[in-house]
Amino acid sequence: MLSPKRVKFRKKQRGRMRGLAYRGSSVSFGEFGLQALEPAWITNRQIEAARVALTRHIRRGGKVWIRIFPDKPTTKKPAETRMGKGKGNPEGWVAVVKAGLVMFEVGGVSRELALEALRLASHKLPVKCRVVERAIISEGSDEGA
Amino acid sequence: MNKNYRLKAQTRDRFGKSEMHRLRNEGRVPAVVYGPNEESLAISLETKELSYLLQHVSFENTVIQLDITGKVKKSFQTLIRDVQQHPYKPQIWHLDFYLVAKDRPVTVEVPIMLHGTPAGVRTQDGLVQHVLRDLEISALPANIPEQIVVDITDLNIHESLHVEDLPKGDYEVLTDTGRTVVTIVPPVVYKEPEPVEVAEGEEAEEEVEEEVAADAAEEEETEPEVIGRQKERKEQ
Repeated sequence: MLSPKRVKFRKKQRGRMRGLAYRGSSVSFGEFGLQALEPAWITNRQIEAARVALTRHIRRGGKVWIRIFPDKPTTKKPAETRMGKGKGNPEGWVAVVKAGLVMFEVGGVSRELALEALRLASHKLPVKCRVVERAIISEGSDEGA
Repeated sequence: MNKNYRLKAQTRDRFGKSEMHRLRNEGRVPAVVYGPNEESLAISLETKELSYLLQHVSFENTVIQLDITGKVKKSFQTLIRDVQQHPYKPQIWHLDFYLVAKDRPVTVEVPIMLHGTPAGVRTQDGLVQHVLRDLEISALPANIPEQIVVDITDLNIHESLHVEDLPKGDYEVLTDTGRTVVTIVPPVVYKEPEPVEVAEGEEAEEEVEEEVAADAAEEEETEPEVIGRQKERKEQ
């Protein structure tokens, strides 16, 4: 699963997820992408589950790009603990996703296969998503089909 | 060469955030026109007409004739330099038009399109990797191509096309000639993990315990190194 190798601090403040993702909101690497329509924390387990769903459906050929990385540590206090006594222990890693961000991209496969694979991957994520296509795809091109 | 595209625009004397919100609610998009030897001009366009055009052309390299009415009545040849839009809703917020002259070359990015199924894909199930999708060129407005089409039917696995192999035209290529445009790579096959056979009795319990211990160890290992911690320890 994805997680940082080195960090500057073990714990981070939670922060806010206000606004839209103005950067990374278009398909840049492949031909199809999965775009978040609401903000959320995506855990490294959810990213891995979506990646497995994508690659299992595509099976042969094609390439998958993961454009998010879980670089934010999340903490949790043990069960039945009174409040106070400091921040909880690091429990996992999340990627902060804002509305509009393209999280996954697929290339080198047919349109039907890509759409179905991305649909399956979207069910592994805690956000509403939509499948987006690259702005211009040549009408005469049958690239990777 | 590009077809002739036209857009009607009106000069705009309303400025500021709240006025622009009102303008967009009225079904118009604010825009600005600028270029060498011309003062910048604030204009507005009809959203429907603009959306239709942007959906059907590659706007970065298409010369558009802008017919302006209102306080200033002029007609300009322009290129769209910037489009500000909502990340996921079909809303256009603002446009930048750049004035072009017939005798002055402009720098634009032209999409590279691949044509045909490569031999490496047909016979060996290879995978097309389209690395460079836009070519930066300098050309007179009349010579800007709509797209650059590359025939890739003869490409085998591990073969690639570079910028220098692209068809030539009436333009100067600004992108590095050594850059790869497209390459055919061997197929990547995803293998399903083999199912673990269910053991019986004590052996099964031992195996489960081992797995749990391995998972716990893995989780401990995934705790990343904290930068600066080692230095502190050495100093102590």
